[in-house]
Amino acid sequence: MSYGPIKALRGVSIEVNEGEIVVMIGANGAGKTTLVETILGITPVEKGRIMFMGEEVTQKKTEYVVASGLCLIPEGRGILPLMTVMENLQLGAHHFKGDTSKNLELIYRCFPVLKERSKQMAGTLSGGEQQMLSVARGLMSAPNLMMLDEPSLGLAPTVMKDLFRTIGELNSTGYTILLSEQNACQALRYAHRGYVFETGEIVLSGTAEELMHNQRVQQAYLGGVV
Amino acid sequence: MEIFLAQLINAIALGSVYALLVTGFNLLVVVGGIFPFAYSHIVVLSMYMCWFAMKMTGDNAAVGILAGVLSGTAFSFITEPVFRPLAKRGAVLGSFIVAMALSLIITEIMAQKLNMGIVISFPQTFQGKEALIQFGTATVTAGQIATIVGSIGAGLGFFYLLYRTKQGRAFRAMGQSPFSARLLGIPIVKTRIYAYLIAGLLGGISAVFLAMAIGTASSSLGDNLALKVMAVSMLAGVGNLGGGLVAALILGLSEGMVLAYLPGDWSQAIAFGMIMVVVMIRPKGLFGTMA
Amino acid sequence: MSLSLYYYFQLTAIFIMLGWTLYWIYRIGQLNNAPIAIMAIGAYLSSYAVLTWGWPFAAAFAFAVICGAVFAVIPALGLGRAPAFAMVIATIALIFIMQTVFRNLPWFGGALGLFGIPKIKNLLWITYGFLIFFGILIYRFDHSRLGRAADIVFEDRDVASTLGINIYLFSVCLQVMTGVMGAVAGVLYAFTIRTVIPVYFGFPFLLAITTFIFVGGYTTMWGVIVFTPILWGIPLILPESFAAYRNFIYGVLLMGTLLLRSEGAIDRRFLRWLRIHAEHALDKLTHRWKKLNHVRG
Repeated sequence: MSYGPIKALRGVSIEVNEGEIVVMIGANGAGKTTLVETILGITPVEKGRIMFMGEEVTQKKTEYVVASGLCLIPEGRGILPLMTVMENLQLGAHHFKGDTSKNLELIYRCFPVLKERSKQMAGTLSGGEQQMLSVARGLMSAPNLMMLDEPSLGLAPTVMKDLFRTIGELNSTGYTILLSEQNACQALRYAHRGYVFETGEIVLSGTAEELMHNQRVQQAYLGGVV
Repeated sequence: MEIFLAQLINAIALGSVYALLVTGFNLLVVVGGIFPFAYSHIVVLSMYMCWFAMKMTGDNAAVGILAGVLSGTAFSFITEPVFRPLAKRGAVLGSFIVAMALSLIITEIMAQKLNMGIVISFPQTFQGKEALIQFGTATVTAGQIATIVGSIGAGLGFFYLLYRTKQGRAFRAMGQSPFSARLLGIPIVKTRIYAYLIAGLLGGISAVFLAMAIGTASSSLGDNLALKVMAVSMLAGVGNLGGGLVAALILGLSEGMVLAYLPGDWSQAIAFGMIMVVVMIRPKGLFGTMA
Repeated sequence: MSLSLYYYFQLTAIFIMLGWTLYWIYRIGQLNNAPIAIMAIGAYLSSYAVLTWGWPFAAAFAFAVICGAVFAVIPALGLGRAPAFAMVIATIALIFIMQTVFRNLPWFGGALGLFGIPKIKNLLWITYGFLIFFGILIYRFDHSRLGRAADIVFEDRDVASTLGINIYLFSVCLQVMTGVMGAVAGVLYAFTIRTVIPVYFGFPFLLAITTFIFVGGYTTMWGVIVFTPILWGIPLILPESFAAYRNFIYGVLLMGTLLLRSEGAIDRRFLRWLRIHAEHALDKLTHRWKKLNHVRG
């Protein structure tokens, strides 16, 4: 999948290949959220194209993009607090054709706590559990590409570590992931490649290794130490 | 005592129809994202269609019912594109004014063109005035039972749809967070259209039961009902489906009981007085709004 | 002056006044229909005072307006904080309640209402006097700090509160002010038409006034002034068959405007455009005048 320049983002072009974890690093407001929302069709594109699995989806409606196998786990979790965990998961499978029990199995394996709480109101879950629910909800549609926007936001360090580990595991089972993170340290550890965003532009790109050892990245995002 | 019971049954029948109306109304608020002031007017228009159908087929009740239900659904469907740009912008107050304008248009059509503005009355057989149950001097008519049972049935059907089906989940998701619903790939416009269809269906069913319960209809009934529906939804909290049911029964009961002891006009004023009081003391309604 | 022209001027002025009441309160984003209900109070009480108690017009006028103002305070206090649609519904309900009350209380003639209200000399001057007075009030409001504060409240209530604007107080004051205007309009109406029937002050009337202001433009006070005479006047000169469709056409116009040009015909951009062009034209004229004088001298 590749992407072109748009309003509020200038000359942005990224690529995600199947089976990769690609991470977007940058401060808040650098444009990462705008990018994923534009990919989904929520924000309109001024210039450029979005190609997904060989098909152009630039002007398509969000429901079409999602149905093609893209999903976004938004910043702030995006779950529906007034519905049960199970209902949230069922909503995730809105576009999924076929038996969802396999998806549920995978989800319960990764996040056993969701099975326990499946009848509870999603709003009563803890922050970490809500994030898990959000990711699980995305998984319910067996997406070709999962986009996660700042999944670690507001999570305790141990929970965050678990989350990244899960993301890594999911990738090894074949999920392609586009990750947007402020927490560069953890993200780069699991990613294959990355882009660095600053005020709406990409200033650096390369493999995760390269970025981790890059001085600028180290100073700005890794606290000077790897 | 029996008179009281008879009044009570009447009040419950009235309340159950209000409950259906409020449910359709709330659905449009929650999923449609508008303030459907003209909903009751569409319902009354459907009552007229039911009446016309029966007039043309020699009082055939089945045809009348079909006409009422279908026209309710159809009319509601037609109004969706009108409100679409407003719903998109989230202009609820704007949609209110547009709905007011629409209600005026519908009322004028009924007042000028339909039956030349004369009050229509539904055939006695349709109203089901035969007494089915009798206790002492009081009777419970077939119409009342049909209304109560039918409304409960329709209500249950709706809640089943809402809580146990995929489409229902989509409705609730859209109502709670249109943004999240969009991310989930729920087709926003299509879902709204479904909401209008279902609200229209409920409206058509209500029209039939109103015809039974009230027996007559006129061009002013639209405004009258609209106020009551809004009173109920304000009492419960706009958009609150469950609360709406309770509030509908409350209004039905108070109206029915008051109707027995005061002339018709005053009972309306009391219902409206209730609204004002609620609005001033608990503007979000007794059970809280979803909006 | 012919009678129909008299009616036209009178009613246009009264309707503009009522349009302004809706306009004024909508400046802070609230749709408050109470002035129509209070109009009923103004109309009924003043007519009753003159007909039954034999009071002179001025006394009846003052009485009715004071009652109207007092009455406006009560819902105002309660509704100041209400969410937008709660206020609309409650005030619509108020209109219905008022109609019912006046229709059912024994002193006001029931459904037939009061009639035979005496003619008042110079009512036209009185009416336009009030019109200009209210117009100036609103104009001064719009061009003052209050007007700007209202703009902020309209845009974003939360921002407005953080800036220290007391929305509740604002709302209450505006409601009372517009209530007074409504009462005045009511008295003038009663003494123009010289009959007062409950049906006058109902929903179709509310919708007509709403149409005037929303089609005319709700962001400025001028929209009402320009469009009320047009929208009210044209149905009067149309043949009978069309006149019956008046409410229907109002409804269609209202819907059309809200969907297509949501701010109404005359909005602030148009006024600015007008001002710029007027200034240009004025400049050209004075320039030419100066040149002419220069040549002469």
